[in-house]
Amino acid sequence: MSRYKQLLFGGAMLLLMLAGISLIYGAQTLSINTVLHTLWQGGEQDFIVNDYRLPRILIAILVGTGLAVSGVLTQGIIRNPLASPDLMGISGGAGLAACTVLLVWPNIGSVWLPVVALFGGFSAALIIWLLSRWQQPSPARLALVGIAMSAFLSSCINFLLVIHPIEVNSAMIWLTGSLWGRNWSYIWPLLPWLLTLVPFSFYLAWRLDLFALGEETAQALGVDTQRLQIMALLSAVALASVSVAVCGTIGFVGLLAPHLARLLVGSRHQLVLPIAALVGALLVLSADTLARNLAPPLELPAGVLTAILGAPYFIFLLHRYKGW
Amino acid sequence: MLTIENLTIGYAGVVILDGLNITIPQGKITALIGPNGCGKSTLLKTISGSLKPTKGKVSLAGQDLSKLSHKTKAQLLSILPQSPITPEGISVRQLVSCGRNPYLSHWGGLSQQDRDEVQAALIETGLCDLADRAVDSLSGGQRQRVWIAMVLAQDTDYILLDEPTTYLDLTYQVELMEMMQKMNRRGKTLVVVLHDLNQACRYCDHLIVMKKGAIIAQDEPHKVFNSQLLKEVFSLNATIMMDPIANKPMCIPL
Ligand SMILES: Nc1ncnc2c1ncn2[C@@H]1O[C@H](COP(=O)(O)OP(=O)(O)OP(=O)(O)O)[C@@H](O)[C@H]1O
Ligand SMILES: [Mg+2]
Repeated sequence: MSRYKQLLFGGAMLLLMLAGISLIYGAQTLSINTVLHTLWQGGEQDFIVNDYRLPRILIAILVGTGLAVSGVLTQGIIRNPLASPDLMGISGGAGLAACTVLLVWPNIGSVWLPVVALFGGFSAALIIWLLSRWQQPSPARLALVGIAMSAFLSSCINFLLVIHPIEVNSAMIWLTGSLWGRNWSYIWPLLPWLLTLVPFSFYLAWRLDLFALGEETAQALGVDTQRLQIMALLSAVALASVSVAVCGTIGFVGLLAPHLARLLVGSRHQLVLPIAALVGALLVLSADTLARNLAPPLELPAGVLTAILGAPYFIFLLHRYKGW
Repeated sequence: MLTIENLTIGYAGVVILDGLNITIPQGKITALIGPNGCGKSTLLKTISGSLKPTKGKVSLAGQDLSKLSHKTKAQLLSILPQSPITPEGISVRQLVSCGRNPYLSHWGGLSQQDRDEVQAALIETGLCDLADRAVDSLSGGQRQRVWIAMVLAQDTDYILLDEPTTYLDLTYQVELMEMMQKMNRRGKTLVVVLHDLNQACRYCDHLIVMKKGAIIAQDEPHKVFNSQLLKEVFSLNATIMMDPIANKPMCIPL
C-alpha cells in the first residue's frame, strides 16, 4: 500500500474510532455492547444513541469536511496561506445573516437557514472581493481586512444579541460554534450541498494545481483562470456558509485542515483534498466529543476548542510567513 | 503567420504599447530585443492572451486569437513567462506534465502519449536524472530548464520564450539556442526575448527591435543590425563586425 493510501486508511480508521468513542461517552456512559445493540435494533437507549449522538457525529463529519474543503479551495485560489473562510469574514457574514433572521423569525427551520447563511456568506465575500480589487492587497493585508471584517461582523452579532435579550438563548448557543441539539433534521438540508460541492471540488482540483503556477502560466496552459477562480470561490463560500448554518462558526478548521494536509502529502490538490477533509472531520468530531465530555452535563461550544488549537497555529503562521 | 495589428495596451490606464503593427514570419526564429522596461514582456503577454489589449488584435493565420477558447489557443501557442512561480514541493516530472494540460479531457489524467511526450521533453532538456526531484530544490539554471521542458511538452506550433537564457551558464545558453533551432527545423515558429544581441543575431532569422513601447525596426539581422541602431536604441557606441564562424553580424562595444 502506498504511503498515501496508508494515510487515508489510517485517517478513516481514526475517524471510525473517534465516532465509536463519541457514541459511548457523554453525560451517560454506555457500554460498547449497548451501543452496537442499539445501533442495530434500537431499544432502551434508542434516543441517546440513534437520535442524539449519531446525528451529531455525522453532522460533525459533514461540517468538518465542508469547512476543510472550503479552506483548500480558498487557499488554492487566493494563493495565500492565511486565507480561510472564517478568517476572511465569510463565516462571519453567514453567521450574521442567520442570526438576524433567527431573531426576527425564530422558527425558520433548518431547511431555510442554510439559504439565509449562503446569502450572508456571499455578501461578505463580495465585499472582500471589491476591497481586494480596489487595491490589489498583499496576502497579509487581505488577511487583515478579513480579520477586521470578522471582528466587525461578530460585533454586529453581539449587538443584535444585546438588543434582543429574550430570544438570545437559542441563537447564542448556535453562534459559538456548537453542535448542541443538532439532530437528523439538520442533516438532510446539509447533505445535498455537500454531495454536489465536494465532488465538484475534486473536479476543480487539478486545475487548481495549474493555477498554482501563476495566473499567466495557467492561462498559457489553457485554463480559463477567471472562470476557475469564480467557480472555486463560489463553492468555497457555499460550503462554508452551509456549515455555519448548521453549527455556527467553528473557527480555524478551514485554516488548519488544509495546512496539515499539505504538510502530510505535499501541494497537489487532488491529494490534499481527501486528506484535508479527513483532518477537518477529525478536528470537528474530536472538538465536539471533548465539548460534550469535559464537564457533563454542561457543554462547551466546539468552536472554543478548535480555537484553542487554531489560534496559536495562526500566530505561528503569521510569524513564519515572510511574504508581506 | 502571427500578425499584430494596431495593438494598444497599458496597465491601469498607463499606455505601454501604442498602435503596434508586427508580422512574425512563419517557421522562423524571431528575436525580440530592446532595453529593460521597453515593453517586451508586455508584448508577449498580449500575444499569449493573458493581457487584454485596449485596441487592436492579434491573429494567427487570419484568425483572431481572442476569439479562440483557452484550450484551443493553448494547443497552438505556448509561452514561457519571464518569472514563473514554482509551487512548493512539485516534482520536475509533475511540472513538465502540466504542459500536457491543453490535451487532457475534463477529468485530467495523462494518456500514454502524454507520458511519452513528457519523457521526450525531459530527455531533450537533459533532466531525466532530476525527474523526481522537487523543482524548488534545484538551481536557478536547472529550474529554467524544467520550465523549458514544460513548454516543449506542450508541443505547440508557436512558442514564445521570455528571456529563456537567464540563469543558464554559457554551455546551456548555446545548447538552448541549438534546441530552438532544432524545434524550428521541425516547423515551429519561435519568438524569443534575448538580451545578448550577438546571440540574437547568430541564432535568429528575424529581429524585432523595441524602444519605449515602439517598434524601431523589424527585419533580418544583417539588414537592421548596425551601429546606428545600437546608438539609437541602447545608447551604446559599438562597432559591428561579421562573426567569422556563422557569418552573422555581431557587435563589440567601444
Ligand atoms: N503589472 C504591471 N503594472 C504596471 N506597470 C507595469 C506592469 N508590468 C510592467 N509594467 C510597466 O510596463 C513597462 C514595460 O514592462 P515590460 O515588463 O514589458 O518590460 P520588458 O521590456 O519586458 O523589460 P525587461 O527587459 O526588464 O524584462 C515598464 O515600464 C513597466 O514598469
Ligand atoms: Mg521582460
